[in-house]
Amino acid sequence: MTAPQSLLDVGTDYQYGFRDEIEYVYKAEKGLNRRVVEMISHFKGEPDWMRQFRLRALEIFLKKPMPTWGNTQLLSEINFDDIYYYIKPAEKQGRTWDEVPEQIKNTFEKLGIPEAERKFLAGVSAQYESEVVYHSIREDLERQGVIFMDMDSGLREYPDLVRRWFGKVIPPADNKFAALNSAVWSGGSFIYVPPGVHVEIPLQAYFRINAENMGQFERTLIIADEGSRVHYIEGCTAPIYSTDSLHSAVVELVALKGAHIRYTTVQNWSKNVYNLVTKRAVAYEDATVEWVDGNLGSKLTMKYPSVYMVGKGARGDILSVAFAGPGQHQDAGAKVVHAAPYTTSTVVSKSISKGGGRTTYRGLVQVDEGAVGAKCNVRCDALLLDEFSRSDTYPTMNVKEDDVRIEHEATVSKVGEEQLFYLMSRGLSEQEATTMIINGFFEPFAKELPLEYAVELNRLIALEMEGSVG
Amino acid sequence: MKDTLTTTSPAGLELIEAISRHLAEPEWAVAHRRAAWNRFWETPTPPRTHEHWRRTDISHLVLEEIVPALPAEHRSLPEWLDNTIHGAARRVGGTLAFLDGTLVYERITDSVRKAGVVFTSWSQAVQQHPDIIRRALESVDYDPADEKFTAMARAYATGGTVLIVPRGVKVNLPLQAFFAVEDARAVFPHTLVIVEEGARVTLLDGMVSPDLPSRAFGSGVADLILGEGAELTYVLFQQWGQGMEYFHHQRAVLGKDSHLTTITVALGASLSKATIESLLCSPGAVSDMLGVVFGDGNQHFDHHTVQLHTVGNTTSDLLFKVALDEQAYSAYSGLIRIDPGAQKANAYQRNENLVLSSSAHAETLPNLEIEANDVRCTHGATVAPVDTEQMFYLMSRGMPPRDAKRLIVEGFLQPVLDRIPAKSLREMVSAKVDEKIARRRF
Repeated sequence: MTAPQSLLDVGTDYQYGFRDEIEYVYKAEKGLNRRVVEMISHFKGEPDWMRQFRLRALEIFLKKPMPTWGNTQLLSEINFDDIYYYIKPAEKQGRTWDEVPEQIKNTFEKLGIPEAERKFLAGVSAQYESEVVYHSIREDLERQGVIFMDMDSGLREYPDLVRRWFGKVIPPADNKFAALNSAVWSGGSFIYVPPGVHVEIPLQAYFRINAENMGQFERTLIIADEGSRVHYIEGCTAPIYSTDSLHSAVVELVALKGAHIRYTTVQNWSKNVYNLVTKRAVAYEDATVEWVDGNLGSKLTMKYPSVYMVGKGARGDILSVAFAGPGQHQDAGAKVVHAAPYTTSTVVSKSISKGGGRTTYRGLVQVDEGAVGAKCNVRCDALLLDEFSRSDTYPTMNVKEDDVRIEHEATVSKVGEEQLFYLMSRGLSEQEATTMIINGFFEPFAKELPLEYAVELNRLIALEMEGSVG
Repeated sequence: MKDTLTTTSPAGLELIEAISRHLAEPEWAVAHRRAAWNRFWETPTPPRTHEHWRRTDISHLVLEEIVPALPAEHRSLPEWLDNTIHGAARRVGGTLAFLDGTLVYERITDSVRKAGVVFTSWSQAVQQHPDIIRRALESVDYDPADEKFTAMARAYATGGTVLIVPRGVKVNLPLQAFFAVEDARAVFPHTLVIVEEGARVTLLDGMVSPDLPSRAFGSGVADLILGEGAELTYVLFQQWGQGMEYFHHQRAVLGKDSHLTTITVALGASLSKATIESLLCSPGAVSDMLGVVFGDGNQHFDHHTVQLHTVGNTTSDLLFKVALDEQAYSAYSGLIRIDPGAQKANAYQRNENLVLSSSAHAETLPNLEIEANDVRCTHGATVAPVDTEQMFYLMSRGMPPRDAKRLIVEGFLQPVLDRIPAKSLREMVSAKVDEKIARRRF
């Protein structure tokens, strides 16, 4: 089947491509050097160890070459000297909704944040530019001893806890973009869940880039203490600008003995954003970490959420979904490292390419010596909606132990003619049928999302497919 | 390494002239060698950071200092090689054997000869069939990742097999060629198979040696060319002894409606790295690619397969089975590539690894690059130990654990060996695999 012509020119309008005029209280100079980093640290009034950490990371960033793999052509177009590395939108962090500046509120209004809060979400931590401007935690969470604040506040208020884990899961030398983030990070979430505490409702943060040519370098650290449970949701939308934006986050998760962390991302950056993110979790004995990772937006995403299972019986589950339209390259995947006995992991990747878009699954399964009884199953499915699009699968399995079971499977195909025929014979139009098949394809992902996200996802897919079949 | 391989022979271009003179090659063949040598000289040795060379360390090799020995005037057939040849030779249409690059055995049945089949050594083929060889060499494409080694092999080739099956000729009995090594420290086997329109043939290409007293180097190329509707089964049987470090590049070009079956059997060598490529560039082409690897000791295997679909309506199906014991290492990396516009391509790729010891190490990287949408591409890979339930079943039938394990390993590899069409070759190869399994104590 060849894709109907009109299928190829959808997804051209970006719903959240509005832009607010904001007066910036402070605006850093463009480009990156020691002075900028010193200034960021000084401005935030950070302890000396963090200043040193940033400066060390800067050196690593400047020394490390750009990756020689992946979409090197798009990567080479990033001009690091033409980016603002730090902007603070308001001097003071808003504690109540009333204190949040009107224009910023308007932005969130369009994104539906206050509604989201009204809809039982535990805390809203909306990162606008580089600082968290609005942040609330329900009182019962506070009573349980759960810490949920922006990373800068976390560093100020819980210096020992932060120092113990910050940069330990993802050291600055891990890769060039982790080094960049370590040097200039600002904002992000800091969460600590005390032993045995189950956070019943998902914690949520909304990120958004606004200033043109502004990099956003948020830093998130989640520590789930023994036997605790937490679900964190991160969603992104960004306005469209004519020149490219860089988003380079670092997310570190620590699941101590028996803890359970689920981290959900719906990434819908506008289609000029470079989204180069390092996400990694360490799972101790009997702990479970789940990454639910959806990539719909951005120009180039390179993101491989990983779980290092370092304690006996630890578990890692990664569900990755990508949608690449015209001009987009979703280079996503997963890494699972079995470093302890009887560890289990599953990876499910689903991707759709259309209109010349490109999706790449890049994954690693590693079983270290001594990790007996390790089990891992990887499943990748890719759909290509037209003849101009591309799908790549690059898995690596590295096994240094015999008593293990590792499986990988992948399929690339088009929307099944038989499925289309069946649905259309039931009276559906070709577009409805195609949309339904794609929704079904994404079903395993959608059903892992909270209801309002699932609704939003379905809406986004319908939007992408709208008018696609004539 | 470099010390043992460096000879007093003149290096580089002068050496090539010497080889060509020795083999009495025509000027165009010398020119071909010279061009290859220039490419070899200009191409840097691939660094460890090159994706294709990440998993095999060649830092101890100084390729520019490795030179081939000139083929000897006359060598006699050693007993071990005679046994290998006749292990399968009951029902074959022809046998060639080279020892250290020199042709030592040649027997072709009358029926094969009368059908016009050319089955001979490089040096004879170059003199007797210059046009067809020349055309074939000119059609060869270069692979940047392996260029250093393939250019070296083309420049220094001193022995190897040429098989040309004329249009419409169906050779029912399989042919076999053995490239054996005893004394040579560096060998460069070159195989060329041309199966013309509507012709059919099965060839076993054996790379064999006893365990070698010191390290040896080999770099070989196999060019397989299939005309319209041609059928070729090509068995690469690698059973080098300990000490050999062998690099192999095999490239098949498939014509319209042709059908290629390649069966790669890798049992020997200290280090063995092979690229097995099928270029599906005409509609209707079908490529079945099978592999069996059984490693023990400190053996290092690195297999890379390419299923390149440049046009639509093409089919490829790959199954690579790897069993590893002791400290053996195997990397399997495979690429299915569907070019834009290659609609209705169908590609399958499967790699299974059976790990028999906790110090064995298996890596698998099955890759897909798909740029057409009306295709079906699937791959799978597994790494697992011997199934305890199967063990339990066999032992409950009174079988000692060692035998049970052996049987399971044999059963794991057998499905690939069963696909060797010629019974005599199938039995010979199976026997060699079983022999190696039987030597394992488990």
